[in-house]
Amino acid sequence: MDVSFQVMTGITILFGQSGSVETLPLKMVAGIDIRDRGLISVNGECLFDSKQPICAPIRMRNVGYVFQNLALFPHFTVLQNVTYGLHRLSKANGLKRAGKALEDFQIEGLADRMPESLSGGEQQRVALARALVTEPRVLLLDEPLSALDMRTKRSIIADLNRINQKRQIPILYVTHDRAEALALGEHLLLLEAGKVVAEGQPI
Amino acid sequence: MSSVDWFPIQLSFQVAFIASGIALLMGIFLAWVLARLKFLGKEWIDAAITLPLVLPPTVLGYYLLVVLGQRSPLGKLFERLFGFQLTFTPLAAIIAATIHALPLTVKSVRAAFEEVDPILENVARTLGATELRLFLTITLPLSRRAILAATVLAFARALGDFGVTIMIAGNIPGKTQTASVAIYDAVQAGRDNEALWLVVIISILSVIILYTTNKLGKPRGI
Repeated sequence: MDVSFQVMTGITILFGQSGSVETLPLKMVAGIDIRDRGLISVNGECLFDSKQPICAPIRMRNVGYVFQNLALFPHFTVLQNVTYGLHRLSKANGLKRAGKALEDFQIEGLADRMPESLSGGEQQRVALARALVTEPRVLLLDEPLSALDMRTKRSIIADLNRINQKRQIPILYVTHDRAEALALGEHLLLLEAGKVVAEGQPI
Repeated sequence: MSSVDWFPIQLSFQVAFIASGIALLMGIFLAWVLARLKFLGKEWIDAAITLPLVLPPTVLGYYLLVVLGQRSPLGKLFERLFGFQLTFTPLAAIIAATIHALPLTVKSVRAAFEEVDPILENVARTLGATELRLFLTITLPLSRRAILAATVLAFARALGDFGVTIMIAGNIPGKTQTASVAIYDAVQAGRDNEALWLVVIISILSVIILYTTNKLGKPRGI
């Protein structure tokens, strides 16, 4: 894989049809997958540089990551899931922040529910709220909406864009679905055989 | 009935409680090391921990006698530090039961840890969790049923140990004679009534413990 790209704030779609290759940049930004050579920096801060060498551990990178299977903690309630990343705040502050995140994604009524009792769309919203509540510097989405219908996708993306108006962080969104790639992003990167082959705005 | 000696039963349960507790704590630690760390010779350590599961108990007991006996360096060191010899004491019975129970806890807890979705652990890391925090809040709670089951098995194994115990703790009535050993002793000496009582009491207590842990281990209703 030999990929180099820069992204701005807003949603950038990484679109490709080769299965798992498109996910690799996400894993590398998060620090889950570490390769021999490369450079990753966010807002001028270096997360990984094979020349220096610098390699920040996952927990220090402050990235939000929503995995394809969402990976909600099954033994925690929605609220406990969302507050998990806020353990450094005082309890009152944590609850306040989490409450705001639940409101942003319109799931405040689900706070005490267990993940397995939620619908697919609700689980997505919880996963997004959990990833954004820590105020990450970049949000990584690995096919997070693939199991949903287009209407629910659009509504979740609209919420995401609305929330991102304030914070203006880059969002990297991997998908293998052409319709999704064209409909949801402001900026599109087309990946083929591990390379960026086209870049631009979807029409 | 009045002549039932409760000492062997009491000792057996004390030994089993302490041994399964130690086997559980050591088991969780070793299982984590084996499930999560990568290092040379890992499978050898795994094999060494599993060995007591396949070795005949008397063989295991013999090895322990060699390693911990009063003429061994470890045995001598122990005697110098604590002023009494380790073998043929209740402590030796605890060591015997622990080593016998340890493979069960390590094996089942390791399998449980390996079944926890690594993605859940990565999510916790991206949310700023240290390895210790993610272990205590994600890995351990998600493995709790397997851990409970492993503890019950370890307890049963420790309670029932005969071969290793008789080799390194011996058969000293009122000191190291556990229930299993006392039953054997009573049968050998033709004290059938005494053996029968011990068997009945041990059986009833074991069933009660199994039943209670099964109840506790049931998943919560939703």
